[in-house]
Amino acid sequence: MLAACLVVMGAGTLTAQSPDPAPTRTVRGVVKGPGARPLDAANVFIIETLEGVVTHEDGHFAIPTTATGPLTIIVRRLGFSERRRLIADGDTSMVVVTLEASGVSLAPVAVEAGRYTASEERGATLTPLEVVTTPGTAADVNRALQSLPGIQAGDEGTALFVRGGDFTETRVFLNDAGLLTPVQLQTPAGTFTGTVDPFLLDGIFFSSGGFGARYGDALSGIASLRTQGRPARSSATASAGLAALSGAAALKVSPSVSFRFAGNRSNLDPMFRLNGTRRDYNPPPHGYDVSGSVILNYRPTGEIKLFGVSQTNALAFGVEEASYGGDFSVDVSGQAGVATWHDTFGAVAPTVTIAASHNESGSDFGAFRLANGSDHVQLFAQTEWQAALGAMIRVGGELDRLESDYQGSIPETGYDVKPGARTTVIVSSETGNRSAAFAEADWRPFTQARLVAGVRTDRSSLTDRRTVDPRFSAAWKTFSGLTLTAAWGVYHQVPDPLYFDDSLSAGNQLSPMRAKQRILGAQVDGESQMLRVEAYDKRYDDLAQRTRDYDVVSGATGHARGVDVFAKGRAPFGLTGRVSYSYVSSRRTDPDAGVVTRAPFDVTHTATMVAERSLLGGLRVSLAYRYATGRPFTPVTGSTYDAERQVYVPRYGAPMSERLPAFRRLDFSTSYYRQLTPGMQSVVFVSLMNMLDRTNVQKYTYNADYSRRSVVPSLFERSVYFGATITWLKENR
Amino acid sequence: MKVSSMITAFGVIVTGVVIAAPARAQGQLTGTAKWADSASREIEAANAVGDLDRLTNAAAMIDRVLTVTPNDPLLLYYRSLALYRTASIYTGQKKRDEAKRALEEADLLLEQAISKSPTADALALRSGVIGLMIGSSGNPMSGMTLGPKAAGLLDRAKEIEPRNPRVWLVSGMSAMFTPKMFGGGTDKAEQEFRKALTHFDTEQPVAPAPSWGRADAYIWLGQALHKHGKIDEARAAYQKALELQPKNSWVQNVLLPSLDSSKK
Repeated sequence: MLAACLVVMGAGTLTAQSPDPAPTRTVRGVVKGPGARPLDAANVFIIETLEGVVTHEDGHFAIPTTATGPLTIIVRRLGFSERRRLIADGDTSMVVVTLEASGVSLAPVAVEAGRYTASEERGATLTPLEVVTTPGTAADVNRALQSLPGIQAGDEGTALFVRGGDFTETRVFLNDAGLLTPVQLQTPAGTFTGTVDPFLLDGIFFSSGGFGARYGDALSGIASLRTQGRPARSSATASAGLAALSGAAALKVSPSVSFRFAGNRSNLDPMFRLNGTRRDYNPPPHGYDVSGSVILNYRPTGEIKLFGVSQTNALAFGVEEASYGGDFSVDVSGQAGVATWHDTFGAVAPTVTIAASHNESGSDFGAFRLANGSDHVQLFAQTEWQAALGAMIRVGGELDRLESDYQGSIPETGYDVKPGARTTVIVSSETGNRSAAFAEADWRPFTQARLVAGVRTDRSSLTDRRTVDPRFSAAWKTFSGLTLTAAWGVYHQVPDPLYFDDSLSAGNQLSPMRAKQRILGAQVDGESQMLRVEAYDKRYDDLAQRTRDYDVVSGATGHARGVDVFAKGRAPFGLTGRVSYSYVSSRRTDPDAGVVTRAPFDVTHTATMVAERSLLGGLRVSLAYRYATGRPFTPVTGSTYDAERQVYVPRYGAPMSERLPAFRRLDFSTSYYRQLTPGMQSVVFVSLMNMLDRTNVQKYTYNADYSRRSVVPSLFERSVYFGATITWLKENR
Repeated sequence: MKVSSMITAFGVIVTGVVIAAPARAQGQLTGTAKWADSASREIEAANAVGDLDRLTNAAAMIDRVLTVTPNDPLLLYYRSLALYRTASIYTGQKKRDEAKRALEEADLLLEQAISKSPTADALALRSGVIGLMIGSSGNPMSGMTLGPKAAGLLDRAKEIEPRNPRVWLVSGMSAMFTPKMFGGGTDKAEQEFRKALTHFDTEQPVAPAPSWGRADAYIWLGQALHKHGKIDEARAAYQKALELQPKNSWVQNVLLPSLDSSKK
């Protein structure tokens, strides 16, 4: 409000606005650009008072102010995206603000505290705020990403089906280390668990295609997650909700050493008891995760970050199949450690990441009993060299070793899963060593244009083949504010290690899967609105797939074509929001019929609308609506009785010839904030999921002789959730 | 399902509430006239002595006010003027990239200002910005695409306010850099600078409306006269400029010495 008053009153001069009393605090910090270089000429100011300064060569700023309470500083500079930071009352620590270049828009979308800007790569960034403020996402990173265009989400799972591709074609990175993507064997009803707690993160980069040579072993998309850096001050947070208890702490030991800890324990049983559930859980989803990090800033441009996380999730729910009905239980646990080093020496900025993870999972349903253990070790190194003004050279490489052990039994056929059915015994141990190198030139021949050309090469011991992937992208910003983009590239991915087991692949030699992508796009940026349209064409070769009888077939082909539209901005009545729409036509070889037909994730239309409004007095409301065309499936048209196995054998219709009903869901959330003391703040919140109580269909199931089919409902009926959180902030000089 | 994360989420949500609430309220307020007036004087004072830091600070100050009144056309205009002045200095220092960035930003802001209030001053300044873009691009071909756009903006400005001196100032500057065969030339430029000065004599601007440009008109007239070999008349024009801006570094350090060397 103070800023508004200042504007109303005006100013006598620019340098002496009013005979202010002596300042009671000083907001200090430093502004940095790419490669952690200090930035001069950055406009840094407090939005509440409009007090501010312009940085000099060392990037430092100090703003004396008489304002009390939490403050927001805004940092702006020509050629860079705006950044905002909240400064808590009494916080006197140095604020480090890093700006990203935005001179030319190469990226389709980037999200920063409610504003979309261009980022350095072709892709979109989301902040944790956007992740958690989207109603219905349940604070899950993947569900929030699903609200972006280019992702087909036909149900309530967390999988990322990007631009007509399977979810295993999208790779998730944590601090430059690739995370393992669980295969569908674990959850026949769709993926359920997400990836990483968004509050461990300070940035998310998502690309729906056309990404650069730095990223490998992914055919469709990239989600790159970056964990939090050093805290501005020590703090502690305690939360309690209908289904979870959690705590987090940030400890700033010295200006150069900081620690972070977080722990969550969740159990959805109380929530299901209050709201009821359409599914029979025994037990309901429950789990815990603990994480910790050490951040060492040994000099202004250098940082070493050690991050570790341990997670466990388990659930069991009733599943009715034609041949058997019973509990499907899943246990998943994992531990991961990532060490990252980054520094800048003049025009050279090296980064090294070493990561190790161990994951275990077990699935049990009738004759299907499979345990999986995997150990993943990675080394990633990259150097950026600012060769000249407007020219950046990026070179690097990675080594990746994945050991996967599978033990258990898989039903011999998909239609007979009852206990005692014939099975294929799996005792598999596959080790894949992958090495890769890449080089990329990022050139701005003139201010309005940008060209990125790169190439990467990968070789995996599983496929025993070396691949070479050239990739190009270009952007041209016209004087009318329109940015045109284009990209072309070749992408390879190694099939899941399980697919190489002889008992499943029947000795077939699997090749690296390949996709060729072509993208054309246009983006218009306004003061508070942006509109982006992008068309793409993706052609697949050498795909490895599983049949419904769990066999692996290779050599599949396919293509996906579509258009993504994304708009964000202010709307009437003080609303802000975003709308994304995706059209896709995705076809690929059906692994059972051997013909090219609709892909299982050919969700023709996907639309998401998110609207938010902040009301006076710390009250905020949000609404989200999702729509998706029903997913295609192959219907069962009849059956014959197999007396020997004592089971009905289904007869299938034309592959992927029917669709599930369309998916629709409306979610609402509201919260109330109150500052209890200068160092303590509280939030009370209520959310209403699936407000219209629509029964979305997750899949169809059949009775024993396949004469009648029934609906398997999706996870969430109308549910209310509430809770509160208290945050304590300590001054830490 | 990260239910526990959802709990923590709302703490962050509310941060957004605290931040966003004042900004919306401020967007509906008026009273920016004093800021605009102060900004205009600061920009001209900084420009006169070629003080880049002072210009940057002036532009930054307007930028801050624009955060809470983002659609105020006069503030958009003055921020653009600050950027235009900044770009002019960068161009003189051969800092082409910095000049381009400033000009692109100024162009975007003026487009926004014109969409809200298509004044002759805004149209003329945008024409000047585009003209400087052509001059600083280093690519003669850019004139082929941008030249007609700049000329169109000037035509509109002359239609709206034919007696606005800054419109004729920009028109004269445009003529200086346009070959005679394409309708420009020094003769035409001189006429238009004189026309601008005539209109400055009769202009009675009311703050915070734009009032800059009188010294510029003398400076540019001096350059046109210099090109014609009228050294004494050029010197007189520069002296007039110095009466208005006694510390004008461009006149003192570049233009007047240039006259002296020509005389020799």
